[in-house]
Amino acid sequence: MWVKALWSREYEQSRLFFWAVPVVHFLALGFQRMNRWLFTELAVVNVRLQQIGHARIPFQEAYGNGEYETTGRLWLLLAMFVLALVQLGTERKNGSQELLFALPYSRRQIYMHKWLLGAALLTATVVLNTAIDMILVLNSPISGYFSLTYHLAELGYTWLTLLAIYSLVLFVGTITGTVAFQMVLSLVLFILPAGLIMILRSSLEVQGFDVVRPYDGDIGLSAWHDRLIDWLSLTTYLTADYDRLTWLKALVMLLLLAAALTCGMLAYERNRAENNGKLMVFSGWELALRIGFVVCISMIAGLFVSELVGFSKRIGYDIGLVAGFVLSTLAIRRLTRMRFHL
Amino acid sequence: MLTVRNLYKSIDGRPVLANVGFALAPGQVAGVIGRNGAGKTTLLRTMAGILDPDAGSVECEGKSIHRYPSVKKDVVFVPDHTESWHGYTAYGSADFYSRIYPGFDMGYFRATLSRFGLPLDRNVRLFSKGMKMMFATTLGLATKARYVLLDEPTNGVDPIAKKQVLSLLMEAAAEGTSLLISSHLLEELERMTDSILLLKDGTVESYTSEDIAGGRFVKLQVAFAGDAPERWLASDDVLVLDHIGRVYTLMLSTEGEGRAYEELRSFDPILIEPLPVKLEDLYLWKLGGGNDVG
Repeated sequence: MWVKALWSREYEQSRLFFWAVPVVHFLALGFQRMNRWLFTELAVVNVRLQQIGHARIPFQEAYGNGEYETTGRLWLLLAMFVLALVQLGTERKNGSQELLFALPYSRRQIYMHKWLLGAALLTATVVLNTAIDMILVLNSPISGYFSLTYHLAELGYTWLTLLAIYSLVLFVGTITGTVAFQMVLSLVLFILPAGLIMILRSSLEVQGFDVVRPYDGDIGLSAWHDRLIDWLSLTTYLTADYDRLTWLKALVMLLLLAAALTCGMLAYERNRAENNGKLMVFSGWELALRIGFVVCISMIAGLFVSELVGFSKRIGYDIGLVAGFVLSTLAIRRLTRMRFHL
Repeated sequence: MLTVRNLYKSIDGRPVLANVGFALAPGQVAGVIGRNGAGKTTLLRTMAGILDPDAGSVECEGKSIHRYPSVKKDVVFVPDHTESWHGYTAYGSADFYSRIYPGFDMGYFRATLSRFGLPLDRNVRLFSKGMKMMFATTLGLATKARYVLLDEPTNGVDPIAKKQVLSLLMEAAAEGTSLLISSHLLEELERMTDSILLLKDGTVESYTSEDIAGGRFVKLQVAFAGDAPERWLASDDVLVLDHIGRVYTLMLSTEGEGRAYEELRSFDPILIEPLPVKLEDLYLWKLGGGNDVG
């Protein structure tokens, strides 16, 4: 299973990441901790320590409730996102895929080496920077609030969340034919669930179907769609502070990881290299893209025109819906037939 | 034996390969010819496992290369570009291959690159087009795989480099490596190959050197006493290659019990002179009729 040559090929392709990612992670996490507690005037530190002493959960306050970890997570997301683009999207264009597929290894082996390289990079940077952060905390004025549970929870959650999203972007790379579209579709996935629910809800409201939004709480998440949006948005998981980390969130990420890894591997095994350069390399996914694109654009066009038409929002919506349907159908038909060199 | 069985492959709904079948025996050198877009590269890429066939199989010693990719240790594909090596030096790419192909001959690789005057430590990206093709061909042959598939190995290469690449291939063939070469260099293919695979409309027609050298066709210079028999000249078994005054240069099929030749004799021409058949003649006959360039 383990092939040194494949590993070296993947490493050569992404060598820069192995040096840059831990450094960037350190700048977002350990360095910020040093700034706050080691490079600050003693008087300011004392004020902060007093605040911690008065806090409801002192150790949580001392750690800033995970704000540095969240920032680090976002920087790591960016790095892992680009790595996935380099590993799958770019190789379609630069001939690497042709070389790899001609080698005496199964595509599953090739894909697993790619994924393992990303996983190894992520593990290395998360473990290394957590260790550095622990050392820093133990040697800082907040050493009395040191919590191993905190560090392990942040480490585990960050690792799981980023590995799941990295696997998702890799999977998107296995079904899209260009690096540009891999990037676009991956970004769309970040907003798609929330966006789709919002335009669906607005469309229903224009058509006279009132979606009940009870004003019954401070949290503002009482309506079904708000809760759904919260659970389906990747940003919810990425930006979760320490007090919002739950086993349920971790379970959702674990399921996403398992699904994305499995689907990515299956798609890579069946890769249609002859379709490189097209938006999608599989006809089934192309159909899904066409339907999704037409549905979303039609509804958005409907909502847009409904705002422009003064006499009846409903008629405006219908006009926009039909116009959006026609235009988006023509546009996506043309786009899916084109071959891009990006 | 590298065997292609009933291979079908469509791209963008267009059938590129349809029921393609042939075998490459150990030590055999075969050329793949066809017009641009006929499917030569698709055939080689499918045989190398880069593309999956819609139906049919490619088998190396009886094992499907798509189902058992490990058998590709004996099948190497040399594409007509070297983009995939652009991050590597010549030595780096050889080092990479040496970890994959058990028979990789680093001594041969070094010696051949030195013979061609190619630096081992320079990034492949910085090589000229000709140098890139010499490098790629050397790298493919250095694997010492039993079957080497080459896609346009002399594409964009100057005449001197072309000669060097071809001499390298001839040396490998002499050592017993089976080569499948896609090329438009018909003269060179004719000299090097034991057989020719002609791709047209997705199908393959196989011709041995004997077929081309008069076994299945004859090339004649013919002069008719009176009017030329237009209907006969337009028949399927006859191709007019050239025509000056009463003198025609013709290709005749000798299949179908040589009926075309018998008919020709019945016209009682004043001159029938056999000419040597070249691969180019076959190419023109089989592929020159239409405007299809894929």
